Amino acid sequence: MKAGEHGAAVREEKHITADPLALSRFTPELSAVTPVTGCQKLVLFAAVIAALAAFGYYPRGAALGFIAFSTLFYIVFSVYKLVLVRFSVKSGAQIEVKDEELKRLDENSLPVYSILVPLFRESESVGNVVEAIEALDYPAAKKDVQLLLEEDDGATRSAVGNFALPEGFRITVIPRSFPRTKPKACNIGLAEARGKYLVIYDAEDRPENDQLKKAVAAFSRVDRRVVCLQSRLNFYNPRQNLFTRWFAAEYSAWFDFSLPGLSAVNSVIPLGGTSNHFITSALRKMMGWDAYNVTEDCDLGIRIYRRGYRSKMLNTTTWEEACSKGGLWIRQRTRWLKGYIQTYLVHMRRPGRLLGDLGWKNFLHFQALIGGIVFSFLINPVFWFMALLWFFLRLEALTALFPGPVFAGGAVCLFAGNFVFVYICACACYKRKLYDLIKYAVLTPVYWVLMSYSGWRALIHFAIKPFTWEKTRHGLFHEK
Amino acid sequence: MKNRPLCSPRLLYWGAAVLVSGVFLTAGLYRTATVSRTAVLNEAVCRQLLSGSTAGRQALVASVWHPPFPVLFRLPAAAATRGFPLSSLLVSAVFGAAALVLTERVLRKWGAGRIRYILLAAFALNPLFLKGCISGSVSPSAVFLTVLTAYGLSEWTRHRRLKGIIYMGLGIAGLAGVSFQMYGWLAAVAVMLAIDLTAGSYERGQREGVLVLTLFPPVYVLAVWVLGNWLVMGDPLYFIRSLTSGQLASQVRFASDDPVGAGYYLAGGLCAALALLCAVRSKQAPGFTALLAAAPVVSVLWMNARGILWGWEPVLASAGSMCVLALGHVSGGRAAGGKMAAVISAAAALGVVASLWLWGSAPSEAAGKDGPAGADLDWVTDLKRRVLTCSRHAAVFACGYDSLIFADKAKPDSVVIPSLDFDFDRVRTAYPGRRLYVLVPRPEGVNSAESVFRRHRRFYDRGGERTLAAGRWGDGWRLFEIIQAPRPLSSGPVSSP
Repeated sequence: MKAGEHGAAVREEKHITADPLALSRFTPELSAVTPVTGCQKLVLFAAVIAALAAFGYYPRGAALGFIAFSTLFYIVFSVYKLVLVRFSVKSGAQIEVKDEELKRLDENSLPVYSILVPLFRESESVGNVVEAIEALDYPAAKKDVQLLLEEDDGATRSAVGNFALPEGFRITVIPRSFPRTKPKACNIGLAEARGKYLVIYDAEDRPENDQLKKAVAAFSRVDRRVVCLQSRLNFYNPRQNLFTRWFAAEYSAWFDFSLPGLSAVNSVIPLGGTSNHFITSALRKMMGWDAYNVTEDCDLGIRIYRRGYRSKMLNTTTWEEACSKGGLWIRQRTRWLKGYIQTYLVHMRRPGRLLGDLGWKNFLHFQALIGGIVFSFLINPVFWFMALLWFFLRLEALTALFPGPVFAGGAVCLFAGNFVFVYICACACYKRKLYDLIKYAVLTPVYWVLMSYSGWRALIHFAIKPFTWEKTRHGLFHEK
Repeated sequence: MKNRPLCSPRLLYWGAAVLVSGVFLTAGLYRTATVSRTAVLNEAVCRQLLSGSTAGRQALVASVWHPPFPVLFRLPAAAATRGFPLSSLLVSAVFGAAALVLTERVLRKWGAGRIRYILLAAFALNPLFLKGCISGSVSPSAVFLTVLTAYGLSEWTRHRRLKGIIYMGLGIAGLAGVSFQMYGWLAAVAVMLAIDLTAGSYERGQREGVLVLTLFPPVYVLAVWVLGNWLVMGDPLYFIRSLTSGQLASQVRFASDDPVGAGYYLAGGLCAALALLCAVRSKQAPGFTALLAAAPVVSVLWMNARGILWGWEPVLASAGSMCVLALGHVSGGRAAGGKMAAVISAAAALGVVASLWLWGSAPSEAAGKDGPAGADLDWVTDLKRRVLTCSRHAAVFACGYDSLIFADKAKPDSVVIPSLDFDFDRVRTAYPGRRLYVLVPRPEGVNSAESVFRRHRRFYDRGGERTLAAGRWGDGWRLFEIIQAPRPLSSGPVSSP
């Protein structure tokens, strides 16, 4: 009976996964196809009305409540980040695969490994990504590389056409349809994938050569529930300009401290957009990525836990290109934060069910990681504005908004909160041996201004064009 | 059959820490007469801060002699307690226990073996540390941060671990915000780090990285302190004005001729000898620890020479504790004669502690019944009655940090107004036509660093601008009446200037 059930499941999966929008069709409640449900609209509307009424009738009380809540949030969030860093240095925070273990792998028994490379307007990066994947230490015959090309992206298609693709490479053309997003392309790639394992690389990625073998070795010894291994990401152009320096500091803190910390406590991991290694069958069971979510990786990280699976961090690095232009950086960050908003709203449609699926611990992690990050970026400018008012105008009215306990909490935030975030970035740079970047890391508060700007931009974009994918342009480093 | 431990080491540590802090707290609650002046004062600042008063905000940042961290550490507990300085006792008990647990870990890591229990006993019995743990003083937090810093430096010099830099950076930052008296010791740490950075081999750019990671935390603390002074006091360097204006040199009066005691000089001498011994044996890390142990005593000697030796308990508590730590470091070596070194170290540690009890001066800052921070403040009630009989709208501006304790006792009150930044012009402008008084403490010890004596050096002896002496109150307080031209009586609320 079991075999029959399994067979039926496989047939069904094949049918489902052939559809790149399967998730939104079969389980729309887990998809961002409807950005905000009717019920959520009602709650949000009521909340806005209540806030307006409170600020209209009791402005001082409302402002005081907002400031008190925000101060408490800052304190809790700072402590949370600190605890994650503490856990990240525990042994077992990320899966370590030693060289000896890799040497013991029998090349003949290695499984087929599917590699998806979504390429859209990436004609200048094609050569690099092909080279990087070819350089991966894995038998060419066991590599199943799909270059996912958009039907109407003539430039990239012709750039690929000029290459004599190595063994194991093939082209999958993505038909032109709505939405034009990376997850939709990846879902088509997933349907066509032949490998036991599957990984996604972006056009500008340079994974470490032994990454696939490390993933195979790690999958062979982890808990059976672990269906995803997230590699650490960092940049190969951290010193290009101030933006890339800050970006590298931030990425180092996120991928070398925060995510390993989450992995250490078996918490939900918001996956990075690339270099996440999956067990293909499990990914198919989850119907792949949500084609409507602009941070499909983060959303998938949550869904993995909701299905009872787990993700872990793998001690290997993929080097990417850091966005080096302010405008492009803001577009990219806007998309990420818009995706976080989408993901938060999708999973909070039924909070009780989410709580049941994740449990208390992971539910709180979800609130802090997805909701908390966006919330902090949105409220930061309010406090900066008040600080400026006080610095330059000495508005006495502000004193009334900071009664004793709130002022004390604010003092704690000023002394400890900001310091925690900056110091984590500086330490992460040291850990990454980016010694010369440490002095730039201590200036990251300036970078936070851009993050908050992107946060507000993301909120506006979410309201007016939720599915628009603001494409990050790569290859600027090579051009230079 | 495998021997399974009864409980995990982590649980054991937590259990031990909770138990020890419970013992300290119980002892503190039992011996309430020994509650320190700083405990009472910090508690008062916490309450002022929580009540949202201007004086509380000013008190948090306004003086280098009253750093902000002891207040911030106590805030959460102070919010829940009223009257008795329970939060100070709790915080000192917790830091004391944390210092002991951390020291045990450090000694174990250094391979001190079972001898560490003797060293640990010596550490705990250091009189200033022990008394600090049960009196709510800032000494235990200083000792904890000192041990953390020394451990970080040792980890860094021996193993080049990032953890070492982080501990060192956080320890230094913590000390920078806990005790100004420890700045001399911090300078010694900086010198040793500089020696290591100069002599050690590093990758390209690594020296710069280590320097930034170590110095950023204390620089950040100081920067925020400066910012706080700018925002609250209107002068970014207000908190160090007492050091730069030369007021201390003219005001200082010693409460005691020999505040330190020979025991601490003995401890310092022993540490210097150990450092020399380690230098001869080329053991860099133990040598550093020994030098760090000797540094507080040198720092105390320097402060004594400068005439600013008050609030020295944290420094000397750290000196004794660091001495024990240095002995642990020396005895932890696996070199030939290690066993003998361990036995000698243990004997020396116990000897040092015995000498501290016998010849070390006892802390004199307990908030006695008649002390400026004491519990008996009936004279404040008398003072209020007296000024109110002269005028229903009288106000007394009590200068200095100690005044926060009166305000706390008298709360809710609008007669005695604490003032940390007293200014005649502002007071006259804000309270026209009212009968105003100013109460100043005797400029003795740390009180001589109060801002009122910076503006009016001879205020206590001769009075300030157009004031009349109006009597002596409490333990050395003097009341002056401010003369101002008669104007129509203000009916507005009285607030702090």
